Amino acid sequence: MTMKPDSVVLVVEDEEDSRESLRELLELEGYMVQTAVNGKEALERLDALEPCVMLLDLCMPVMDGWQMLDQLRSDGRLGRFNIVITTSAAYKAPPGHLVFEKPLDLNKLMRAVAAVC
Amino acid sequence: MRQLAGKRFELLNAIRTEYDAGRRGAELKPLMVEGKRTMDEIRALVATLDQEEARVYDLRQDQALSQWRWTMLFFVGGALAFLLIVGALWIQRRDADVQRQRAEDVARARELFSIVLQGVDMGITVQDAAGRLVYANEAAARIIGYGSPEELLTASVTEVMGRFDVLNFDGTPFPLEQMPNRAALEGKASSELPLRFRVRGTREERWSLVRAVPSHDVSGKKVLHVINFFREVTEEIRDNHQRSFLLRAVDELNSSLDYEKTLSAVARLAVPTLADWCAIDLAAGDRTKRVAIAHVDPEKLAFVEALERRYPPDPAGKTGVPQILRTGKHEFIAEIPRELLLAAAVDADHLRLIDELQLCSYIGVPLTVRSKTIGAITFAMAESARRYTEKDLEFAQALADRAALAIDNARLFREAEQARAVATAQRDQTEERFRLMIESVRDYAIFMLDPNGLVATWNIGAQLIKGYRPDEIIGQHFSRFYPDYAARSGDCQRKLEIAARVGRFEDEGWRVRKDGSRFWASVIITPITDAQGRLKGFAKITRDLSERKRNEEALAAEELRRKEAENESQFAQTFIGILGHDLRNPLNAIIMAATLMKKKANGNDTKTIDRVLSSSSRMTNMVAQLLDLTRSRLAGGISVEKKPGDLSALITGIVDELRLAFPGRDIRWENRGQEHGSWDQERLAQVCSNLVGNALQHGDATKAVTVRLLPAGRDSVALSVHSHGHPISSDLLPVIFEPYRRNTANAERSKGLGLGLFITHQIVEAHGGDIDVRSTAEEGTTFTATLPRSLRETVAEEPRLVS
Repeated sequence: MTMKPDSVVLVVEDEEDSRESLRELLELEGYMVQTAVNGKEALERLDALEPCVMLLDLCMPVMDGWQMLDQLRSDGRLGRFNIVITTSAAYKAPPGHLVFEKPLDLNKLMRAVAAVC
Repeated sequence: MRQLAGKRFELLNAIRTEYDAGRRGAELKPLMVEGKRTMDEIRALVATLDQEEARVYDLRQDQALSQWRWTMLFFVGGALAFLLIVGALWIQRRDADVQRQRAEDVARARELFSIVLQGVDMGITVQDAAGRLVYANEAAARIIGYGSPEELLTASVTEVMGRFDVLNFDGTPFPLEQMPNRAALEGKASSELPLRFRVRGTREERWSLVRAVPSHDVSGKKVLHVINFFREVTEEIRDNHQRSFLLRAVDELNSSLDYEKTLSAVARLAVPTLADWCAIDLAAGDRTKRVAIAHVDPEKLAFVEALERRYPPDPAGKTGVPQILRTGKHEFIAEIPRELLLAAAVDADHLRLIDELQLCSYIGVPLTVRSKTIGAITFAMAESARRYTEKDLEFAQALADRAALAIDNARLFREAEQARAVATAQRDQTEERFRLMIESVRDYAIFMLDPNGLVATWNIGAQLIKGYRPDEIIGQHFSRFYPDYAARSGDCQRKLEIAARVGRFEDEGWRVRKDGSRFWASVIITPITDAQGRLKGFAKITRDLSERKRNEEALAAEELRRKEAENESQFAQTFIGILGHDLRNPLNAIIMAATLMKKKANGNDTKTIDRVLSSSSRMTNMVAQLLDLTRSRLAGGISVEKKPGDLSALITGIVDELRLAFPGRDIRWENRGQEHGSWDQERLAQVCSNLVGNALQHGDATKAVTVRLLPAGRDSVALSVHSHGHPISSDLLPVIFEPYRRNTANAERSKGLGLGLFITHQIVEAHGGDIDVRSTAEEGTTFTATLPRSLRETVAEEPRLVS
């Protein structure tokens, strides 16, 4: 378990239990973890945080994952960030993204995160 | 003298009065013969005339009485005066002046007397005691058939009496010894006798009222003269005859519209009073048609018929019916000249036959209708040797005019009748056709209701739709076609009222057949009114919409199914949402929390946490399976997204994972197939794990599970998983890929939902492949999924991660 203080993982998840568990797991892996409860908050903090990866839930209030992706695509920032979609409805995920279906296979997820952070 | 002159004056007055009365009667007659009067009018007129006549007659009787009295006094006085004058002449012979004076007076009286008598219309003769005629006035000469009084006075009594026959008015011979002058010669005054004098030569008949008055000598015992008075009533009698004939003829003509029959009757009426022969011919194209001929003697009729058959009348003849038809003018030959007959005769035989008829006088009058001559009536005198006069011609024309009118009326009526009959026939035919058409309509119940709603007519369509025969339903109230509730509520009557008020009522609803079954009907009720707008009933057209109704119901059911399907789909989406999100999110939280706890436990007792994780994992699988089931069953099938990939690498990964998960088991992996293809890798991974997992679960744990990838044909690969152990029961084998089919023998070992093979099958099918199972005790169990490589299929975008 190595600390990676420079590497910020952004977890965008509205459900507190999942979000906080995931955060703790990632922190146990040594990542700096920042969380946002919806797409809007994530968008606002994305530039400042410069995360190495963003774990993005799709179904969220205020601004959901699809809307956030659309926004990033339209303002040209989509290519700047690594985005892993974590969703319980993988079949609804927009194409072209790495998708992890909930319940998350944590081993695989950690491998994917480790690959970029 | 003065007294005498006064009496004379009174006599003249009386004669004038008489004369005037006669004229008045005569003035009234033309009214009667004037044509185109209705029978009633004519009858009324006749009644009036009869009254008038009766009055005139009474008057005449009275006058006659007083006249006779006066006349008697006058003549008695006259005779006395004559004797006195003669006496005075003798007495005053010596006084020449007086004598001369008196002679002048007598001469003047005689002259005056003679003038008066000659001017009187009444025939007056004077006979001496021996019966010799000593005086006759002109009227008397005419009545007896002489040209002048002188002629009459010079004729002998025998000659005079042989000149004519004396008959009663009814035509029976009158005995000469009963003549009034005979009684008068014996000093007895007679009453006025009606007598008919038929002149033997011409057979002309004259009717007179005859009276004779004796003139006595001074002693009053001896009859010196008899004065005969003949009041001629020939004209009146003839008028009377003709009038009554005309009345009878008109009666006859009006009695029937069969004018041929009535004309025959008229012709028969005419003989022998008005003619010996009467024939009526009608124009028939260029020819003539004899519709009636009459003679008193049937033998003569037969004779004429034979004559005319042998010598048909010449249509171009210069006289007779053809000529009348051509000219429209009457013919009148008072005395048929011999030359005419000679000219008319075709040959000697013909002439002989014509001569036999003894035709002597002839009248032919046209039957004219609206300026068109349609026929002629011919009257002829023959053996009776009577001669026609202008008067007869007038009468004949009057009769012909009436007959023509009757014929015209009858013809017009016949034409109208025929036209009406034709129109009726046509209307009947039209109505009949229409009725037949209505009756034969099968698809609609078309029937009539009377104004009270009782069934009046019933067609085949009505019978077919409603089930009643006409005799069962006609006269019944139409409410019986309605279900009870409608019939009871007076709904039916309201419908009629609306129809009558608005002119139409349209409705759809349930109706009841005779057998009680219901049908959905479209009904139109239209009121039927007569020309005066009175309600005669209603036409009701009922259409059985059951078929349509059924179709509509089918459509509705289809719609319902569609909605249900939509709902189902909605439900599926909701359910998928629940499974995919709402269940998996907390499951995710549980698993992460448990994983976190396990990591934090740092190798210490993690048994409890493992159980949480294991159960959570099973639950994850179940949720995934339910999701797949829902998709395949409710949401249009499991979708696969094919991407080019290496199937062997995929299987290798899975086998590796399973080897890790089941370290005690022997899992062999033989790759001999073409690994490159287009697959939904995740789904095929699912297939592989399911099949191997199944084999590990149900197969003999001591024996190896073998996974093979083999080529199958050019473009397919076969993925097979083999295991040893108990074979799948033959009951289960055919249905093993259906959901919830478990191997009951191993039920207690099953920890899944029984959906694994079903989902596997679905995924393989979604790839266009097939799955098969062979299971025997000797060979063990082998599941083989054949999958097309689908190399030409479009390549989806690869997911990528920014490095």
